[in-house]
Amino acid sequence: MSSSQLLEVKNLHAGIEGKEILKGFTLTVKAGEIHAIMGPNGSGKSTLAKVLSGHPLYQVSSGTVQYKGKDLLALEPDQRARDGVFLAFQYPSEIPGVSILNFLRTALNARLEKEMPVMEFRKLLFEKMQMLDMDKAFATRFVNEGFSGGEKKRHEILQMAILNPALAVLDETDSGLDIDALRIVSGGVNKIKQENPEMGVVLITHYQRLLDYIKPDYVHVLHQGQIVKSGGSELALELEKHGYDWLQNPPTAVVNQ
Amino acid sequence: MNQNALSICAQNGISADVSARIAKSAGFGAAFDEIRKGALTRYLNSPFPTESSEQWRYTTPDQFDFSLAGEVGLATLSVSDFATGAPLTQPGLAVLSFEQALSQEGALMKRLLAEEYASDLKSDPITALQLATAGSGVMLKVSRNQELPNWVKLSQMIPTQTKGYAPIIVVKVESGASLRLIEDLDVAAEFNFARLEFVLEANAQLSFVSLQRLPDSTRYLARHRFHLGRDARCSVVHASLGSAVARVDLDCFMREPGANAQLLSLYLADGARHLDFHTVQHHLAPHCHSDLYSKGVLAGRGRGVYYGYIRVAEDAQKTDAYQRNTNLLLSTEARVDSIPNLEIRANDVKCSHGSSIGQVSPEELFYLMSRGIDRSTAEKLLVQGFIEDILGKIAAIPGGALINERLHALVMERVEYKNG
Repeated sequence: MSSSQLLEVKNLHAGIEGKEILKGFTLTVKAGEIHAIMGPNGSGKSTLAKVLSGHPLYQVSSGTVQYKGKDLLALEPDQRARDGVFLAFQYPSEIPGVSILNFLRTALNARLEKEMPVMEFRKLLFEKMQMLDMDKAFATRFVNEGFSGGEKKRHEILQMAILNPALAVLDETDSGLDIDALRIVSGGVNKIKQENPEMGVVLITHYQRLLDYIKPDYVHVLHQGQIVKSGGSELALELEKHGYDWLQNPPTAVVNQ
Repeated sequence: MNQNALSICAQNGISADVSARIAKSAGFGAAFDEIRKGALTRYLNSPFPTESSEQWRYTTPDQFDFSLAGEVGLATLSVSDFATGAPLTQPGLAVLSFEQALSQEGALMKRLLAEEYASDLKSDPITALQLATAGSGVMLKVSRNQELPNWVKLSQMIPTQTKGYAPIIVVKVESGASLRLIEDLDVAAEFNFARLEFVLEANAQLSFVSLQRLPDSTRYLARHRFHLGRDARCSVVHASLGSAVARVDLDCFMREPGANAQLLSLYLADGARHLDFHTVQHHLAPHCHSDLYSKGVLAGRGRGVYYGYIRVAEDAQKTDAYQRNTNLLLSTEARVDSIPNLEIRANDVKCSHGSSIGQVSPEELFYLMSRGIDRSTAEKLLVQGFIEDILGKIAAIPGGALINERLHALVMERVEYKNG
């Protein structure tokens, strides 16, 4: 395996409560690449995100996931995160009583070898919050409690900015966002990528719209637990034009119309 | 003492020696002898509760060794400045020995222990036994319109090897006065059998904190009673962190219009600890407000009990009363019983109650871990989040910031998740 290969998923079969959802999923992401994974509801997009981050309710029945040359599936969720894997949740949990400041400082310190002093951390946090157009008062709010949909997504990207991962998996970060919020969120992702060009990104999305703002190197279409088609960013436009029903028919025939 | 009394004492495991001491009623002079004799009679004439009594279903009488009642050496009760530890010389605060209290405040003592204010205890043999066996007492008195801004710490010292300890502590906050009092309980007696009485006259204000961190070898049975006069305000914090078995019965009487009580409780039952909190918010007059919020963390094989009543008398119109108990179970072997009750006889009131028991949410835990936070730190964060709101309320009581800080540290150093 080449040293620039960040993530290598091979023939992955996985699911939840005995129901298999990913049925032979294969994907290779090199450092610095952005891969978009598109697919209809139920195709296995979120299952992929949950399996990569180590959600305890999801089981892998066969296949392998190598991350930086190591067996990712053997690691606990917190070990994966400390090693640089980040998942932006589609539906992040509310943690009443725990402030964003406290939460993020604890998370960053877990990832760093040496604790960051409080003042330095506050400076970093406020700088990243500014990038995402977030008010300072946000830092003292409890994690996701009473947040609007847009605030939750911005908060996920804020965490990504602070934790500076090697591999970021964004699970439908664009869903439910109005155009202004989408611009801020995708602008944030691009900025983080600019500062960290070696970061690999897996963008999981249902809609092509996001890809107008974040340019993928590759687009993959996920259908019934497998990647059925891969291509460049033009593939997303085809999908947008023809809808996911297109997948039911032989794709080439439609493309030629 | 007659044979009948002796045999009842014997049935409850109270030795003839102690019985004889009770009968002699030695200690606090003739005025108290009267009160003691009355208590002894009530004790002898009321059937001792069993585990089938509603009030003793969740903590049973046999969890306490009543034979230790009255085996008390001399206790020293003293006050100091909580923040500095310096001896206290606040003008307006008098510390009276029990004898002094009985002679200077005889009528009040009678009202509290034997007459009007004790009428609801007539058929409670356990309170009667405590009164009959009490071996030490003190009265704190804040004179009219004196406002004491610093926290006063009440310390209790007993000779080592003392098995039973039964104090009576009376606090009187006179009209327009204010007091902040903290009881830091760390007495090592095997059985701590306490009675605290607080009287708040018109427009008086009290912040009271009971910090129970008794050694694991001890058992604690206490009755805390608050009597609020017109427009009196009290904020009470119970932090129950120690002992093997503890039961506190808290009664708050809104006796005159405009009284306002905030009752906050935080308990941490870990190891094999058993912590019971019984409360009654007695609304006896119109236009009073009471708000109880009790929160528990149960870990290991810990056991919690919350049993509470809001009682609104017929003419206590415009009562505004709340009662809420929430619990977080950290292990599958921990257990909690939560029983809130309403008993409303007036027709124009606002009352509500509620209780909940929950566990650490696996989704919340996963969310924290997915950010690199290890399991045990994540669990601590969730517990910290759970108690955050009650600590916030504690911080907001008059003088509460100092208390909140200490409590937060005390609780968090103890939280350990053992579920695996």
